[in-house]
Amino acid sequence: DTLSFRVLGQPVGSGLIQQQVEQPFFEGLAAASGMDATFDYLPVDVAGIPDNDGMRVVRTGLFDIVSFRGPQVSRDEPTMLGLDLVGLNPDYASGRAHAEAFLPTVSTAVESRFNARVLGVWPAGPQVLFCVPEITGLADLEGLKVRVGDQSAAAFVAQFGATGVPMPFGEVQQSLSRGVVDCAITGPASANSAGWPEVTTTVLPIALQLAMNGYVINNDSWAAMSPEQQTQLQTAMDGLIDQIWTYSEELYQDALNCNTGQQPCVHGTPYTLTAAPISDADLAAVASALVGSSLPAWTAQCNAVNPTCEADWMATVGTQLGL
Amino acid sequence: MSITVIALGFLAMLALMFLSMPVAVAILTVGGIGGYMAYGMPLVETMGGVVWGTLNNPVMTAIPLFMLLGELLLRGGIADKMFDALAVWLGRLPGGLLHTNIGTCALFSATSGSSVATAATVGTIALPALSERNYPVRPSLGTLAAGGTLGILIPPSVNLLVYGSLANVSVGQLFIAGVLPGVLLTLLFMLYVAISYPNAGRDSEAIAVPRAEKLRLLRHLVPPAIIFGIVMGSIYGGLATPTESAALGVMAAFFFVWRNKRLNWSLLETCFVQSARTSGMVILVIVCALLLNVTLSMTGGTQAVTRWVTGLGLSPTMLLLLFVVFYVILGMFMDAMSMLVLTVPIAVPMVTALGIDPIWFGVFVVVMCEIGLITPPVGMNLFVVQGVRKGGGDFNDVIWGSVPFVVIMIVFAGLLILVPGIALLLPDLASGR
Amino acid sequence: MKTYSRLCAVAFGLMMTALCVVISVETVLRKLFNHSLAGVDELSGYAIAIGAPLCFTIAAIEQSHIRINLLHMRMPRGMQAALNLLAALSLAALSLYLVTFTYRTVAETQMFGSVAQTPWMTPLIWPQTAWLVAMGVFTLATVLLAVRAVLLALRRDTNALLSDFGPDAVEDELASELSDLEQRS
Ligand code: NA
Ligand code: NA
Repeated sequence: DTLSFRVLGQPVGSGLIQQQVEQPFFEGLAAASGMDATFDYLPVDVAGIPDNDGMRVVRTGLFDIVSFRGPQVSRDEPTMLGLDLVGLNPDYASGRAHAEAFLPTVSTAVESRFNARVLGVWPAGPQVLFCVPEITGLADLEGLKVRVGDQSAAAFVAQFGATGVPMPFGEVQQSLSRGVVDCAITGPASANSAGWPEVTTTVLPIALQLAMNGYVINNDSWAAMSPEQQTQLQTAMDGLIDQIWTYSEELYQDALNCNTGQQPCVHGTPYTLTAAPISDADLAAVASALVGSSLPAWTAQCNAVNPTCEADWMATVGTQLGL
Repeated sequence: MSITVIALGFLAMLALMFLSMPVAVAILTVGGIGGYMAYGMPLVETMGGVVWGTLNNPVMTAIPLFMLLGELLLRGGIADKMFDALAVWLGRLPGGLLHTNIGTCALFSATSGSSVATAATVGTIALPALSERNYPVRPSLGTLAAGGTLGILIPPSVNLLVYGSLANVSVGQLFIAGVLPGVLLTLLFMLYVAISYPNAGRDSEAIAVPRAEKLRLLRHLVPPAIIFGIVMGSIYGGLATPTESAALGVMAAFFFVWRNKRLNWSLLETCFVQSARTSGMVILVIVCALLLNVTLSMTGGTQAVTRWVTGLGLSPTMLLLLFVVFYVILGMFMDAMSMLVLTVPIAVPMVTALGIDPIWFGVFVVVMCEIGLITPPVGMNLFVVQGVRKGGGDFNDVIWGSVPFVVIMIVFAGLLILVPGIALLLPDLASGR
Repeated sequence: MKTYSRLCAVAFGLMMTALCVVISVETVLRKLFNHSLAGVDELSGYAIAIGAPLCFTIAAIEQSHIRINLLHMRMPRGMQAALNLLAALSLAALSLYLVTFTYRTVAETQMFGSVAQTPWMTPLIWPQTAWLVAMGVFTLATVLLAVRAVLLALRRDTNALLSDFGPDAVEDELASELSDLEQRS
């Protein structure tokens, strides 16, 4: 008989990937996959459930499928962060390669601790710096206050003498305009839709992280499907994930164009930010942050709950990087 | 989920409330049982995370801090002296001390968390002075009741804070948005008094206060002015978040109480008990409302109501006018905070779907709450003003005295709908748009 | 019960005062000296998570949780007393429900070894244990109140049920405000 799935989605406020790709996908999934099933899609902010609880609600089975937010759920599953350490993924291609290499480790951890199966991961998009003062590179961050998303970004800006200030996304635009913070890190598309370019002068388009999100399905819900249905769902999800990887990159380029007044600018509002040139020194600084700060900080946290965490990362991603 | 089931759940909740069960219990019974029936234990297990997420939130911290700030000013004797100072300055306007009622209540409630304490203080000082000078009874009582309602609109306001956390919008922006409407509404009240009672208090002998004395009394306005300046200045100037501004305000209040030589352990203990008590009643209702909210969204209730209303094809203006009618009726029977937490999670998706700014809507809803505070049969400020009348008297005097102000506020709500800029001008300026 | 509520109030008040000092220092340092103390936001989040149940406790003991008495005050005394008993029992049930899922959440945190995604990387089990204890304080208070209401009902002590468990918050509060006002002036 007809299966029914409850799907917890990305927050509506998170932008175009949720609005243009994810929600339409799940609303049309039954028809597109040919499964005899219904999918009830509910964005996490509409549901009123904190997004850090993503792993917990898939474990209890309250939702069958959860579109999790990597940085947020890493509170409960730090293995996740190994996909997206500061300095690990300077571009989409390396992000994809590292995700493929490390995903089996993440899956095993999620399987054993959260009774769920990882269906795939995708990047929200490169996290870059927006600043009110005109900066020419990372060295100019000295003495500035920077809004950061997580502690590995805070540790990174601290290297340059800046102070990392955690702050809810919704407060950032006004805080930039009133001088509570001087700079802030997010994806160019989110920055565009939240009006950050109205109150800043410069963007430094150097990717610190990719902000990895993804999909998990509760093991019992998975087991309730026939092998044929499992294949149908996995195929459909693989298609979605490929689509988001491509769309995310398009969106990133488009939003960079929009923010700096270039063409083509299709999805966002045009603004006139200055794009600071990316120097080799800055690229080197981001790359060395991996070994210098973000990797050791993460392995300490991850090994505490997953003893083989560091070894698994070294054997996969580490080997790719020649570490 | 169908509109019928939602309506039944809502009716069950109202029934529990009118049977005088604690409002939090009524909300959670429907939210909890409804959620359990729909999803069983997994939903119940999620609720712990929701409560932790709600409480472990710096915006929530601002509620007890603002409550503590108001208590310190009140018990430290800073508020008591404000009436005297304002009386000599506003008493000469047409309408006399009636303006003082409005002004003191508004200024005072600008810092106080408890409307009971505000009205008790101002009422006790004002009413004997008013009857001594033969002021008409009804407007004397009405200005007190209505003036007290300004406190939840003029920031800092716990109601705006709660709205911000429910609607997920910036509390700083909401506070800034509340300033202009608060000032305008105060002026409208005063205008009404000046037109309707130009000769109030004239037949008694005006007590001549020497100019030097008048200037001397002004110093009583300094502490509240400084505290308001710290709180709003730090938010508007971008120095601090609402929570931080509340903390700075509390530190300043400690200083003024200490300077008044009132800082002692028994005062502190009273302030702690009172601020904890009022915070506790507000926060428990918020927590339960957020849990109900999860059940409502999970079962598709919120979406069903939103679809139903947007399906009616109403224009934004029509919808808002309907909201005015709905809130005025609801406010007659329900306490302002309960009304806020129950309606906001459903109303905000509805109005944003029609393109209405959620910051503007926060101001609008708080004006609706103000109306609820002075409409019978359940009107908190009406009860309080009746309670402070020393000699007793007919409750109808308070009600009839407040009616003109209800009318003014409804007209003001209409004005707000016609000219949204009243609420949005300052936040737009502040965020540089 | 008065001592119980006073202890909660003092714990809550000192916590809030300390928090105000820390926040103010942080704000001033940040603005004047461009120096940010990490973790103040996190601290204030924990403070309210632990402080809120203490506030619930005080509001419960002082009979201040919001109730609508529109119909209640027009009912016969026996009925009023019965509803007051029911209200006390329902508040105890509410607190038991809250403490149950609080416990489940804390148990999950323990199981997953969850760590706050903040500069301090606080193991969440610490603040959440304090949160659970505070919820326990609230639960104990409401259960004690409910037991007392049941005992009063068994003794058919309508007067006590009306005076100690009634929703006439405004009148009571006013009376105490007015006496406080007299002491001040
Ligand atoms: Na106020
Ligand atoms: Na009313």
